[in-house]
Amino acid sequence: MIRFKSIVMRYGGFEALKGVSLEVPEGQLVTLLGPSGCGKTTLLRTVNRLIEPTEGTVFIGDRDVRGLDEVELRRGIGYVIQSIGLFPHMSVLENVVVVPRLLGWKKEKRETRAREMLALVGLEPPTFAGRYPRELSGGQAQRVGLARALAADPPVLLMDEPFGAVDPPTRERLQDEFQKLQSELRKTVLFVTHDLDEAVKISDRICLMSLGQVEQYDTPEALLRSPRTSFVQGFLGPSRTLLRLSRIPLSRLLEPPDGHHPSATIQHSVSAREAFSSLLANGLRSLGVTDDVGLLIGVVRLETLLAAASEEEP
Amino acid sequence: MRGSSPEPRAQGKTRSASLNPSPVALLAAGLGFLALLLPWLELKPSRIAVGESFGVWGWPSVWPWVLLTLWFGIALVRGHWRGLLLGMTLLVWGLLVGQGAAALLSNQPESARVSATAGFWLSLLALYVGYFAAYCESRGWAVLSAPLALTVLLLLGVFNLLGPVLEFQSWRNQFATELWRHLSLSSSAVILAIAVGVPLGVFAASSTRYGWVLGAMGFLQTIPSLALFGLLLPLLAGVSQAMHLEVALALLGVGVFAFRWLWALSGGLAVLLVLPLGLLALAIAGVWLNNLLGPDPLRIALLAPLQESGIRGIGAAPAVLALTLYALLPVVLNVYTGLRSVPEAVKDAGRGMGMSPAQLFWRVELPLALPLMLEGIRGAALLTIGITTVAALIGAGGLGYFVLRGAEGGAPDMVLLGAVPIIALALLVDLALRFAGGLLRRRVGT
Ligand SMILES: Nc1ncnc2c1ncn2[C@@H]1O[C@H](COP(=O)(O)OP(=O)(O)O)[C@@H](O)[C@H]1O
Ligand SMILES: [Mg+2]
Repeated sequence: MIRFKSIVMRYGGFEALKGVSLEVPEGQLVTLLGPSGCGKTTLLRTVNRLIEPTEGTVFIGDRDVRGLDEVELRRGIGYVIQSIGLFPHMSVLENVVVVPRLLGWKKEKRETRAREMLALVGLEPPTFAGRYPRELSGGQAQRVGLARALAADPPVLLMDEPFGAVDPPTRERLQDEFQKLQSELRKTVLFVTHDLDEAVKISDRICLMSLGQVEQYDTPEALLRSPRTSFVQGFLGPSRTLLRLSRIPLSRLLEPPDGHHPSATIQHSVSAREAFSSLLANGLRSLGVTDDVGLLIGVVRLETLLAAASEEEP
Repeated sequence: MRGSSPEPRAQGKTRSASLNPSPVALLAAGLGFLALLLPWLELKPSRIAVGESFGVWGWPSVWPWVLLTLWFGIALVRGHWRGLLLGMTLLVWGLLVGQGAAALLSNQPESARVSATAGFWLSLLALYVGYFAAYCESRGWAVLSAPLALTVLLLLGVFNLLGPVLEFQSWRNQFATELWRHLSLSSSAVILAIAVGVPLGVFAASSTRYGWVLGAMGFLQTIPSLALFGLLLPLLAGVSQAMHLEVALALLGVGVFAFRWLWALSGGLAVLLVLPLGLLALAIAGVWLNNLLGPDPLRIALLAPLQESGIRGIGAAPAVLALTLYALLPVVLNVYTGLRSVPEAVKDAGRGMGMSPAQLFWRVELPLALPLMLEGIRGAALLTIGITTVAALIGAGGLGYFVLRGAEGGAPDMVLLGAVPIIALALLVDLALRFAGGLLRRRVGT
């Protein structure tokens, strides 16, 4: 658990953070969302003390981070940044074992661990372990960055726009994989992004910020359903309804097959939003839904989707 | 092993193939042709007299024609062939010079001298440019043919009748000593410049507040070397007569401690007070290092004025001190630039992962800055080898001795005896350090 208590950060006369209080529950992924310059990075960096706030206290668990040795503290927190910051003079393997090395692990244990981590983020160790960062694509480098952050198995991860620098298809794939990984690892993650779609897709909770203040801290569903301030409403914009669909698993809107042969089908594991796009793209009113092996298991209708999108949750 | 992928290498090959004929090789051949039109050798009744010039077509020989053909070849062929032809050209060139000198000197009195003139030097330049062209194209065995040819020529002694070589033969022992002095003076200066410059560069890069360090180094560089010697001479002369060695050492010891205390009080004051002590330390260290490395014996005379230990207003002390001050700028500047060019994101990642400042420096910043640091050291070495020539002016010796004596006595061959080895030395050091830098760069991957 990470807890921020009335964090104020001043640069000269400028207040980058104006008293932020926030709690990131154990094992959850919380995104700090907001326009560029609203203080997301600043807030994130107070956790591992790369920034010391002017006022306020950050707790990890129930311990004030100022009471911990900063180097020890940082070794216990995974840290991923947008520009990745892989060490160009170290191979992928050496990059991944940096923190285990700092922690004094034995060489054998380090390297076994590094190979596990590479496999975990989808890079085959025999191919990638010996490569150098300059020999990686943006997506691969970002995976190495993630493997490096996870190597010492820290309970807390700080991620600052980790997928910001890659192309959209790669970004979506990385998001999917990271989401799957997180559902297994259950780290306490503080994730900075300015991308609304990304935040809605991966978060347990979203903290929407503006000008150094928290505008709304809620689950994605609640945030999309009931924006509390006009800033939030403006930030979410007109695609808010569509975004709500992306949080609804298609399997929840499934109806039994109606006997007709569907003119188009879609996999059951996608979100309602994708089904909606597919309906629009094909100009249809209903779609067949198939299971993993392609068997028809039901249909989804446009009316159901529209109802789900506008429905007030009980 | 882990070099670049095969793709770019293949690209490089096609590019050099499309550059046929290569402009550099064309330039070399052009210079080669031009040289054939000029006089190559000069016959003088004595080493300081005015002489008469002769071109290659004057003496009956096929070698000029062979040389002409070879230059055509160098312009037209490419790849390994160019390297090979260049070796042959060098060989023919040397034989031609040797033959010409022998022809001119036959039936001449003992005192007569043959010196090289425009054509000789221009064709040497052409060979150098040609070697560069060949070196750019292929790094294989063919490149070795030119050094090999040069070795053969030297072994055959084809240049033995030329003026500078005759000078060398009559100055053989002194030449060895002065070469040694030149090397010890310049390496002492470079070693000291590294010892002082690397920490200074690290210091300058550690905060934007310390930018003045670079300014100070730049200012030092603008002082003409003779003026610097002129400044140092009376200063060092005075100090070395008045101050005993043990007093100097004690002062330096006190200075080290006082500096930390003063620094906390006022940075500017600390620098001002410690600067003269630093110069004194450099002068003492410079002389001792130079004596350790060079032909002159090391002297440490306690309970006696500094001059008894070899620290004087003239000689090695001002020479190494001035050379060190000149060599500082390239070292400090490159250390600074190297450290500053480490991407902020990389440093941030290192800090964020829990590296202490020392770990960040040794494991990340230093390795990444190393190639540039080595560039700085290369620059410092080349600069120093060049200006060490001036050290002869203040009695420190070195190859500049011959340049100076030759210039005074109006004996150009003697000037060359000093100048040519200085150039060769610089080229050699340059090559060696470039090679080392290449290896390092591949390791660090920048
Ligand atoms: N070192 C600094 N000095 C002065 N202002 C800063 C500094 N770091 C950040 N800021 C300011 O604080 C604000 C918040 O920055 P940041 O947290 O990086 O924003 P975000 O990550 O949300 O884009 C910005 O207006 C930025 O200009
Ligand atoms: Mg940011």
